Amino acid sequence: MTVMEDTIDQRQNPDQPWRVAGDRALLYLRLLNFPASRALEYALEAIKTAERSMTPDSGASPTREVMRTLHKLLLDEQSLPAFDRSRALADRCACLTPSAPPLQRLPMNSRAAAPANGRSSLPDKGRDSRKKARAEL
Amino acid sequence: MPLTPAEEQNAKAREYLHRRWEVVANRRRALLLTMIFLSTLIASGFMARALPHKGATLMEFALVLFFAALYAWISIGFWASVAGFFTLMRGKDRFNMNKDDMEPVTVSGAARTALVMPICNESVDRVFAGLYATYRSLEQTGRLDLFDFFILSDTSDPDKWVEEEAAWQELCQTVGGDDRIFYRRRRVNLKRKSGNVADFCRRWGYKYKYMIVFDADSVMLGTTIYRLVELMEGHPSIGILQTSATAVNAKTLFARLQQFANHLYGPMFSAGLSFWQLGDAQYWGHNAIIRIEPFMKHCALPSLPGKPPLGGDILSHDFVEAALMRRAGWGVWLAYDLEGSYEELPPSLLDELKRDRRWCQGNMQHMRLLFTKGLFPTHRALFLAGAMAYVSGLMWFLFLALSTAEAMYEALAPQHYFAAERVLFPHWPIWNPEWAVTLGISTAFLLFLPKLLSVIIAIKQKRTGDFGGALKLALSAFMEILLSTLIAPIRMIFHSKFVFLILLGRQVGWSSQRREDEATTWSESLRFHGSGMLLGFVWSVGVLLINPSFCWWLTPILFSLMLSVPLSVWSSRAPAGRRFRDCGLFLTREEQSPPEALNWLEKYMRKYRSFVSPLPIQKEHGFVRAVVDPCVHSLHLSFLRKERRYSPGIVQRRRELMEKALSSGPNRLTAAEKRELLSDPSSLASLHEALWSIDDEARAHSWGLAGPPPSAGSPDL
Repeated sequence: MTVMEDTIDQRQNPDQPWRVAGDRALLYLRLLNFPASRALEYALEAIKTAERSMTPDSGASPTREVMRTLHKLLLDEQSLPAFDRSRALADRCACLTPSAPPLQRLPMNSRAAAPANGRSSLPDKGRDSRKKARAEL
Repeated sequence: MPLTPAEEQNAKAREYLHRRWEVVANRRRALLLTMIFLSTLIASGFMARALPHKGATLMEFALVLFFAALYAWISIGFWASVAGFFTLMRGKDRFNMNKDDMEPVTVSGAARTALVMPICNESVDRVFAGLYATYRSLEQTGRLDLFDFFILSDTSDPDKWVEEEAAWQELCQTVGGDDRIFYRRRRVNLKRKSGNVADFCRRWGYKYKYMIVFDADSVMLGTTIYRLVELMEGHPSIGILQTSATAVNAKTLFARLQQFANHLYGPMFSAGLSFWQLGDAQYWGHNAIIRIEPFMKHCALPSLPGKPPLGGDILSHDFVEAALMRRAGWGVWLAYDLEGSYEELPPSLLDELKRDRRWCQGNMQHMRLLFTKGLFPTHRALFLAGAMAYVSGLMWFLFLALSTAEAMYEALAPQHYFAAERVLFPHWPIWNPEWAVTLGISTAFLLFLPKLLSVIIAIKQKRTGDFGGALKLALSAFMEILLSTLIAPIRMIFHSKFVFLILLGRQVGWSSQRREDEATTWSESLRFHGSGMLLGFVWSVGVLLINPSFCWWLTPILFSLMLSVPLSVWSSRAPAGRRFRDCGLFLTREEQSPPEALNWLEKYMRKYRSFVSPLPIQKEHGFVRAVVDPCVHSLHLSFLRKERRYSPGIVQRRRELMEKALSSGPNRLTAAEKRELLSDPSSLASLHEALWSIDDEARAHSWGLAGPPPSAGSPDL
């Protein structure tokens, strides 16, 4: 479609940008696993709010405004199942990324911890563990 | 003064003070060395006498030397197999780790075990399907409470990175494993796989007594995993207990051939290895249980001085870790008859050679550790054997080249029957073909008798049904010998090249293995095998023209080289593998009646692949999913570190990247650019928001957000 055709199309269908914005909002809600009826409610609410907030000569994009409103709406009503889930994940992930255990919890001569304590771990520099163990016993 | 429990534990842990097995091992190893030495000496004597100048010229001397080294090498395999044959025929082994008469062990809650799977740009569906199958199988044992699962990612591909996160979440939801299955991706891939595992040990190792290391294609039965923990609990002196992994899920002809060989010859060879090694066994890097504390304490890997390929990070870490564990006094054992440990094989010859290339570099690096202080002689020998696995290819090639040169020289050079000094009798250079035939037969005996012994073992153990019956077993073994004989010279050429390049100081790439059953294309095969094929033709013509009688000796090798291109293509095809399967050839037990875990694996992979999204975005397009799909987006954000303050330059660069992404679509971004955006929560969230607000349909379409644009057919994905 050329720019001219697009302009003509928009003149013939002045609601077209709002329809695109509505579809976008519905798709977003569908990806968030909202049931169809609730998704429709939210999308309509977002469109209405966006329409009210926009002045005809503001030149703002309906899609941007609808999506912005939708985000706000979802956050206000705390009805973001996916985001809730992500918070739960974030909690769980916190246990996944604990700060490294303090070194004293590792064996003091832990050579596996070379990257943490920056020591060299060349086997050649290692003590002769057999001799030492024999001596200990 | 009585010992404290900790001291008692330590005393027990000094494996080398438990002399019983060590004395036996020393006797057995002395016997092995004697057998190898004697057979090599006799065969080399024959070789020298078969040559025209009886090994007296420099070239012939070199020939005999190479022959001796190669003969000794194949003797090791032969005698190991013979030991395995007698062990399995006898049916009892006093040093078998997994013997039934072990005192019952109560596994307490303290024996917490982590199943760690280090991955790096692997096939995501296979990784998570393997974990799913293992998890389900472990659940059935009723002791899931002892185990946690860790996916330790070093993935650099931005699409796979996001896909892994989403797959992790899906797996957690499927099995209800939220508090048991963990995913961690390293931002800096220090020291590759060994560094990945070391990072795990450093962060979470202190929480676990054991870890079981998985490869990306590993699957283990729950009963096997639990048995490993039991064995470790029952033997406090063991540091590493390796299982002998069984190959499964092969589809292509090449992989099925290897799989069959693994099933038929593997048990006997593993029993043989265990016979010689006992508590000085190898660690193969996966499908093994490790006692974490001594591992952390003693098995840190050094960075070798100098530059790669022989310096830098140690690529094949497993052998070194086993040697270090042993040096510290802990036993490293092979549970050779413990079933239910599975792995997959490279689907094609080219894939196997790619893997060999990095293994070759790793094993050659071990030569630098050969004289490390405190290592046990057996582990030094294992380092040597690891390198020899590849150097033998070069030696074989040089042996053949020298033989050809000798044959050419004898045909072209004028013969001097009388030496410079006065002698009574002329010197007749006599070539003794009958001795050479005897030598050829003895070599074939060393190579093929173990295969025959394996068939006998299978019959004795009433396992012929696993291979489709006695007749099919015999036919399959015959075909395997035929095909592996054809493939061996191709491997020789590649291994020679690898060793040669490494000795020249050329770096070896570390690309992940292709696990899919994708066939090798003709062009790919020609690119890799073309030079080998050409060499085969030139060699044949040259020898035919100058010394036709010698050509017969080289026929099996040169014929294989000439066939390398079609052989590589044909053997990489799944339909060829299926046809053999339909004929009842190369069958295995798991192929005929797969255990439940392998069925779960297949099922989960099918389920994973049947992904349906409201957006026209494939599961593999992880970056686009992280930007577009709000669920994946928020999941990804939850994995990232907190927002940080960056310098204005970085902020500006990221802004420009976002603009580029929005205006040109995801395909115009490089992998590094995608990674940068994925690593920055602020940029990613802004991109997500901006994208969903786009008015331009063509641009939205390029991210899979709108229907077909007016001028394009499909999304730019």
